[in-house]
Amino acid sequence: MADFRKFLREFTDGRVEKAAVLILFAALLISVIAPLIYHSYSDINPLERMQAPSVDHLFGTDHLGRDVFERTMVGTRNSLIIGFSVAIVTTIIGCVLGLVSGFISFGDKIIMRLMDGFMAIPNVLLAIALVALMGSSLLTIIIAISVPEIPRMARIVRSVVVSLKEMPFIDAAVTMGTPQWKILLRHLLPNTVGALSVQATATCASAIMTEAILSFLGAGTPPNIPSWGGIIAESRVFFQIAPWTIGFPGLMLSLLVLSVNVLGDRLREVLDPRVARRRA
Amino acid sequence: MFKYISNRLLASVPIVLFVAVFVFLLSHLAPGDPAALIAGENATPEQISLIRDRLHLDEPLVTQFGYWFSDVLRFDLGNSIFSERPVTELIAARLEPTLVLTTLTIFMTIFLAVPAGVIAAWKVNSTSDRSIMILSVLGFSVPAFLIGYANMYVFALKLGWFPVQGYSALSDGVFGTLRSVALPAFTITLVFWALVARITRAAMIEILQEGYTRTARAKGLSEGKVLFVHALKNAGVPISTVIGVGIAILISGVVVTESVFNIPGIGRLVVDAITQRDFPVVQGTMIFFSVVLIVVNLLVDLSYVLFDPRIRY
Repeated sequence: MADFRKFLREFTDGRVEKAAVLILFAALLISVIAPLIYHSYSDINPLERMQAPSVDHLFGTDHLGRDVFERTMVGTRNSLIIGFSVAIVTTIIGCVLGLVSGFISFGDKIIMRLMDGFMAIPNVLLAIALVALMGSSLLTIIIAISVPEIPRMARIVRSVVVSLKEMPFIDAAVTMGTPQWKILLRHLLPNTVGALSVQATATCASAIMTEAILSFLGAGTPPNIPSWGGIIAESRVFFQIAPWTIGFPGLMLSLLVLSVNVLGDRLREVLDPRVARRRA
Repeated sequence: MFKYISNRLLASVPIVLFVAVFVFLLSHLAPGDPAALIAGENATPEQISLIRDRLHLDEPLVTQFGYWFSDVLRFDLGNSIFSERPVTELIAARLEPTLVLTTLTIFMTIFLAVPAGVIAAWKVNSTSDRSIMILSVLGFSVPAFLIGYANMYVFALKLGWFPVQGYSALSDGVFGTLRSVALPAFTITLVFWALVARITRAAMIEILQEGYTRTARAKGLSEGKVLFVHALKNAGVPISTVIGVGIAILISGVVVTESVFNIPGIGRLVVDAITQRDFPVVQGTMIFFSVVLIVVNLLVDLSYVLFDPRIRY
């Protein structure tokens, strides 16, 4: 526990990191509360089309007279759900693949060739193609964004496992007759946690970004769920008349991704002994 | 050298094959009849059965793949559903804008990112290092389309220095082309340079602690010469590696930016094809981009010889 407190203190000593944690909490709070208090976010109001930001409409209104502030706030939930789900799915699957291919040489050849194949298709293209294939819903989007992220996660876990495999404590475990699954779960898995959590944060940030790109390109979240990329995509034709419809959701998106990235960077510094030593 | 290249090319065969199988399955795994899918929504039953014949859809899947892949190897990627023109022709017609855009982006990135990384490493933990690093985190965090619209708003709409959207072909004058791709290229650069600047910085920090850097300083070379001639040369390998790795980021940047700035390149081709569910075009462009990715990474590996004479193939 004392270790954890020290870790927490070290983790939040910078002002930038504190701000990032604060933003993330605010986003979580908004994503829970906004859908409960804003019910009229999809109400069309032709009389108030494309109004500039004002006290009534903090972020202005879009081409259908919908309040951009309310839509943006409600859209927070979508981005967070996708960011977290993709990070979790990618971590679990990437971890299993990485452990197996790092530890069992037979599995290594097959799995790593497969991963190479997936990595040869540009991320965003692979994701759009998968959405085009499966149709667009929250679930298919999470799958489509996870698939291109899994190879990177698997490779990182594999590299940790491969370097650990030669360590004396694994030899000792093998000599003692520890079953393979136990070596994998008890001895190797805990040692990948550092690398995993850093990569998971990066995945979360890039998933939020990819979802916005997919929605922007018209292959993302279905239009009935407000999403930041979707709000931007719907009003891009009117960019010259109503730039706020793009600016505000874009700013929120950047702020969230930035916070996650800052925390990921910090996590890397705290967890990576090489960087930590350099700092000391 | 020749042996190395042929080995590498052989090693990429399974990867290309994997991509081909995946892309092939794309139209066959989609719910519904692949012939109906490829024929498009307004096809008549006759057209669909024609396509069924042409694609050998009544034969086993493996045989179908064999027919399709042998066509691909002969650069026949099928015909677009909408324009009914060959996909290879469509890609060729869209190649110029994308090629100009990416080349300009890579040049701009190198000219912006490498000096920034060198300066950051030179003055580690100084204000300039910190600001360069913060800017680079921004590059990772702000989506390309937002940067694109911000650039458009400031430089095209307010200042009027560049055209707002569109592309002017090279045949209409090089200057016009450069003017039309300047903003999109700058947009992708702002996304791409963060990666290159960070790697340059990390590599340079290690190099500046090496003995030969001290030697170079000790013999009285100017600081600029030490940094940019002696030290930077040694950072060539990681920098070119990261540019190779970054090509995937570059491609997604191109796809988004071409949409924002309405540039008729391959990125637009993909996006339009996907919204129209034009599967042959989607398949063709995915194969095209994957092959580009593989070739670029091969070229990157070969470029190591230029930076490090100890490396021989």
